[in-house]
Amino acid sequence: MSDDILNVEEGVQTPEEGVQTPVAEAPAPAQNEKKYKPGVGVDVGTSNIVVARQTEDGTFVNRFHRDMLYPLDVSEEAVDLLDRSDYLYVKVGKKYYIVGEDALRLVNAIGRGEVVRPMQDGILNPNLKESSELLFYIIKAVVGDPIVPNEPLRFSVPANPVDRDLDNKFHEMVLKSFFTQMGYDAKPVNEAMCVAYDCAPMAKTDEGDMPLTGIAISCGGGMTNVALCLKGMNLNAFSITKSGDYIDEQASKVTGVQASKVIKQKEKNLDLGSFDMSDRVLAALRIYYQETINRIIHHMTTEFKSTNAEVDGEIEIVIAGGTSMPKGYCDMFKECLEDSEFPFDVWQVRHSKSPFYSVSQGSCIRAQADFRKKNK
Amino acid sequence: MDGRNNKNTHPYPKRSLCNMADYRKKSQEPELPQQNNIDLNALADLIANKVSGSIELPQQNGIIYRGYSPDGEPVNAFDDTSSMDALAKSMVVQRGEKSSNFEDLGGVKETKKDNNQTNNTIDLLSDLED
Repeated sequence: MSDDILNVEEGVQTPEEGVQTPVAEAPAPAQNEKKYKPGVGVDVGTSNIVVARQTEDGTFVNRFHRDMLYPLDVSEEAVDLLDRSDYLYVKVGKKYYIVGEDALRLVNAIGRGEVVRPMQDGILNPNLKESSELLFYIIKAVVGDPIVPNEPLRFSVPANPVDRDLDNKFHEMVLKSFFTQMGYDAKPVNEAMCVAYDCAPMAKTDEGDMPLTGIAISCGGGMTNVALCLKGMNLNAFSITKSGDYIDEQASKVTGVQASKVIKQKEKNLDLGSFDMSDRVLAALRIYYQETINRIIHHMTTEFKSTNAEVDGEIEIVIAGGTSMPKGYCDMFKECLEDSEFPFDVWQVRHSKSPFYSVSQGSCIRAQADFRKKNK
Repeated sequence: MDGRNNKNTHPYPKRSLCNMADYRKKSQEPELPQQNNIDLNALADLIANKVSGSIELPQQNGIIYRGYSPDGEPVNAFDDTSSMDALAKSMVVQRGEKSSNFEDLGGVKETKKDNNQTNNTIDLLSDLED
């Protein structure tokens, strides 16, 4: 995901004063000038780590970092390169690890070697023991220290997938253990529910509007997470492992174009509203986007029908996540939904105002609720 | 089942001497006239079935329970939570010495939302169980 993707539009600010909650000075260098409400949200995604805090005036401050490493052996040449550049790195024994976006830049510049990704399919990559240690080192630098003792922290975790035998329990335990060691009162929160907390879907019933009721979808790189919620409660949540990375890989396979170039095309030029056959990469991307959306709707229909889930009235679907960023995503979703046998009446499909930060902001909102509950 | 009413072949555990004396005493008392035609064998079968059904190991979402704790919670027959927890803790230990050329990391993006909406959500969530 490029910086273009990260620089998304901002939401609407309203001047209303909210309920006052205690505020505290943040000790991290970049946070010194702002006063934050206690409660931090962390989105540990396959592609990016995003940490959200809310200031006293209601602004969400999101700190993001790409989950990537590029290993470099210690040599005169490497030391010289690092001295002359501003690449960020961690030195472990006889190796340097270039971190974040710099890892991607360097591997493209050198043209050999591979970028290491400590996360895979939404959870810690079990094959990379050393890089998980590095990931924790990096997360610590992004999250910073608690601003009050035992500050509530919510970290997003994916639901177990319906299309693969994968249990997230251990991933959740490792992250909980890590954040607890950092001094936080850490708890997991379902990734799609974070989107619901951030976007606040509304159901329209005969008795009036029902808050935090509907379907929330988080379209990440490794997974798509879906949750059906009723008044803020998670009724049914699941994930699908075919998401953004799958779309890139498939488009790369059928066109013979490198995945990194496919990603670049996707982030710069993809418009799902137009079907341009003259550009093979864009055409392939559109086809696989449509397939992925149909797959999401198929699994939602199957899951919700099998559990006999019932919600009165018409519901709203809210969508967020990096994979939902291309222009026309929600319109394509609506079209696919109309062609399906979806078990609920839907009055609106809405895109998050800050799709890339919805999960971290939703986690932060949940953590603030924890803090309020603790101090009631 | 025919032997259920026969004291010599009673299928239940032997009574203590004290209870047995009470039992004999009661059995010598004149029988009350039977008002309803109750099938004792069927009743005994029903109770036996109910009891055996209730002690069957419950199983939910692939977890097999080996019974209930004193506070009535089902106890996982193959609970490895504490070992897994120890393993999880070992995963986050920093083994080798690490140094870096940064203190804090990451780009920053600020977004603004409707404060009322956020506060309403926090209110609703703070009333919910985890």
